[in-house]
Amino acid sequence: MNRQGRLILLVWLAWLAPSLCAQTLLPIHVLADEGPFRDSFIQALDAAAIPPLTRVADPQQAELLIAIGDRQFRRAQKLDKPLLGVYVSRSAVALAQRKRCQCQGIWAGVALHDQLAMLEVMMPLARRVGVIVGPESAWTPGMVQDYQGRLGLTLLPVSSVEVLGDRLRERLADFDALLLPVDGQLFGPDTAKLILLTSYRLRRPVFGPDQAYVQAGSVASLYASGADLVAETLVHLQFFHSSRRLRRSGFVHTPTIAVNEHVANSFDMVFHDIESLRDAMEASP
Amino acid sequence: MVACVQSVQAMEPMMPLADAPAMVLTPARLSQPQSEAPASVTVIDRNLIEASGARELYEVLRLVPGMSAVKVDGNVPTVAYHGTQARDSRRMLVLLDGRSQYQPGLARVNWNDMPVDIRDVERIEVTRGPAAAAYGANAFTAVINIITRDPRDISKHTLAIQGGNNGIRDGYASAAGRTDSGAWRASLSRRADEGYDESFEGREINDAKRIETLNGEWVHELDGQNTLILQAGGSQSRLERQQEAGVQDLGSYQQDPVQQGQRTFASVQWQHTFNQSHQLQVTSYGQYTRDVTDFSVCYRDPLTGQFGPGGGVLFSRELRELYLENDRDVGATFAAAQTDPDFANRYATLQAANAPFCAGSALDIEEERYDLEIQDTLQMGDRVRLVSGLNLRHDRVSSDSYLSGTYDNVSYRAFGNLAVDLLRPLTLNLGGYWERDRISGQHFSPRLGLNWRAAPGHSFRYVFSKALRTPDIYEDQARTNIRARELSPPFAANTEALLGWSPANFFITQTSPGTLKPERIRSWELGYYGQFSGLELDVRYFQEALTDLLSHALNPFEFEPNNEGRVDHQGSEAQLSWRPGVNHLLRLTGAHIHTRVNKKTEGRLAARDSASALWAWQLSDNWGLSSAYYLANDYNDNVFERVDLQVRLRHRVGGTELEWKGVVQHALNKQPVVFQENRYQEDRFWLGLAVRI
Repeated sequence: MNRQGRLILLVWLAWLAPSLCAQTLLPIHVLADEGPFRDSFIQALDAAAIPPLTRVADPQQAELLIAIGDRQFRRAQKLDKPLLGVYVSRSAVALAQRKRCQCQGIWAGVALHDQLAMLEVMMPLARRVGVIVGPESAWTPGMVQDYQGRLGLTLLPVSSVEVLGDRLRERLADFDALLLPVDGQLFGPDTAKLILLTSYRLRRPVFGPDQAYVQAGSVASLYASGADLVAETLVHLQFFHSSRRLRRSGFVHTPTIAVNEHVANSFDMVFHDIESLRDAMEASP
Repeated sequence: MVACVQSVQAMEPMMPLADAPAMVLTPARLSQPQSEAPASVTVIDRNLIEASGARELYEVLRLVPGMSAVKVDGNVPTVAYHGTQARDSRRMLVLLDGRSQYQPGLARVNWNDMPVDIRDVERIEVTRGPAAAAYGANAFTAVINIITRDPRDISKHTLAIQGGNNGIRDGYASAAGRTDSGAWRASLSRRADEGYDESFEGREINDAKRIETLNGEWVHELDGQNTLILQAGGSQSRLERQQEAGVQDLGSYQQDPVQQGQRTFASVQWQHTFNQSHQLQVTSYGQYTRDVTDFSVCYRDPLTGQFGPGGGVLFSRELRELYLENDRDVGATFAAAQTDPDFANRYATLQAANAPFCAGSALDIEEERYDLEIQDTLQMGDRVRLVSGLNLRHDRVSSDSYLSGTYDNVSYRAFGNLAVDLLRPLTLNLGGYWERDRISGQHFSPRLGLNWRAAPGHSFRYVFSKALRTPDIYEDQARTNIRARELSPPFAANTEALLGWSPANFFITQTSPGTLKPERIRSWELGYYGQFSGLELDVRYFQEALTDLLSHALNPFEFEPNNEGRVDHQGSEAQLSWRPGVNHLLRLTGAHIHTRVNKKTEGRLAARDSASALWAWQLSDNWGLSSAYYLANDYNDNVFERVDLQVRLRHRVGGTELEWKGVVQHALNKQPVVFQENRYQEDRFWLGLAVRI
């Protein structure tokens, strides 16, 4: 899906390129915290020819604001301009939209069915999967309950970090694997030790929520890398450029795969390399 | 996104070797995926234990292919992998949280008195095949590793009761808690039943039992690198035992044998993590067991066959001397007695007592073990893992009836297991265990395993191993004496005058030559482990040659110490787990084994075909149904075939979880279990309620 998606995107952009070059530049303004990611992101936008962009220093002169992260997204709403949030929580976008902001977002995290597709390939024995969802999670309880696939998903609502340990101790042994969405409150560095060591003791692998957890010891995760976010941002910008409307919020369509080979091997998972995994995911229904 | 980047930087890998997730831990003492382990492994986790409906721990081992788990002697279970003799479970090592449950005095594993309740168990790993290369002598045919629940993973207190027919009365209470730097748990349990219920040869079988256990653990995380684990517990039991045929020939039981057992243990383990790839573990434990079987018998006069004072000659000094003079031949002893003047005088003296001769006796044994082990686990690069260690063990056995005293054995051991990824899909496991002790001298047990991951999720293995079982202290140092402890009047007051010595002992005594060699096994296997969609399969073909076996009887009445026994097994085994849907689990095991023996008793528990099937169905969030089928064809010419059914209901009342369950065990035939006296007249059933707060 990842490779195929990127290919389609590039073909589509290449096909549009001649006509777009003749069009007017789209003035944008980027709001982001200082740091290497901001610099890389801006550099990538500047290098992109499609759509034709011009980055302006004054947000009031921009036709579209791009805000990276929840904090900048909330700040940008006060400027009362069309706004695209990048790597923003679903709840932040939903809250802003309830306030009738002219905004959409590229949500932090990846789609539930993408993570599940990877889990199914790597754990063909798995049937019962627990999904922890909190108030700030990238996935809503409805998304989990609406899942219609082969796996049996059990929603584990967790309201706060304080109850996370008890919920894990009570339920983790009932599942073949645990799936975590991106959630800045529940699944930060402070809770990684609790979650991962509990999962190791009970021999229940954890998938998700992001690259950081994989590095810490979860088996694998699809995540929105910087390049994925840039590519998805360009799609949104192109849509806005051509229609002067914001594209609907969503996750990145072409997430990156991270696998902790040592953990995957320990659990005897079906994994050879990233490319083979990606191919198997593409081939899966 | 910035926050995301920061979190990547902040989160350290949390997988020191001690915490590394692993499907199996037992075969080589290394955390390994099943596809790389140098053995066939069966894992039974808590979900499977609960689905089996088992009341007692030994019962769940029927889910292991090739494993015999039956109550052979009334209420005493025998659990044996590739079973041989019916009453012996001396050829397999059982670990409970790393502590050996193999008792050195009489080479046995006492499943009744194990100080743990089935509800305390998180998982059981069974290494099928010799594993002396990792655990030393007596990891002979297999290793069962019972791992209790980690207190850090328990969030509720539990109270459970269950009762059913045939005197089933069980209770269980457990508590758990957490501290700033750790967690603790403690449990207390009691279980009781009346054993087999069908009378045999017109009398009730004496095999009721009552067992209480206590088990506690405290985990204290000293800091990020050091963890301290303390465990303590014990058990006490009261087992009604069946009358011995040998004793029945001599007299009449006035009090049926009753075995009283006590066990205590304490262990401390320190885990130190140097870094992500280097870990040290120091474990020390002590355990004490005491078993006493009391019985009281009125003895017949061996010359007249009638009850009377003449029965006392069986405990007379003169008959003992004749027995020793006649090379411990009972027939020759009595033939010589007829013309022996001293014996005639003793017989005449006894007649003057003019009262039946009755005596209480006891078979007693106390065993102590102190064990210290240092284990170092090291990951060298991506491809090499090494676990090595040293062990010092002191066993002490005291017994008037078996040893006529106390015997100590100290063993020194060193071990190492190396796992090397030779080429990416090929893993080599090399292991060895060197040991030296007072009884058996010096030995080395090697193992070689080669695992080839042909494709992700599919692997083949070849394993070659050798192991030994050292003679137990009784086998090596037996000096039996059955003492007359509680004599009837007037024998109690005039023991020396009437019997010729005080204390008086039964005339038969056995002495071990002290020259027995260890039993040996040589084994190889070819195996396959694979994962498909929802399906896990493990199959193996194996050949095992067991030589130098101590196959002949070694009890106080019959004692033939020699190493002439030989058993050859060859066969195949399979285990399959299939999840056809989210709410169904089907688990099948089967074994087909050809066994050749040179002494018939070695084949009594060797079933040519055995199988188990377990189906668990989660009907809804609250209701669960499971059913199991077990087959062993045959044990001692008797086919064992049974189905179990369990219904469970879980629901919540406020913050409390309630679980109701009903279990029925139905034998599919009326054949006895191994021996003629072990028969069930009716189905077993019980109802249970567990409350978790």
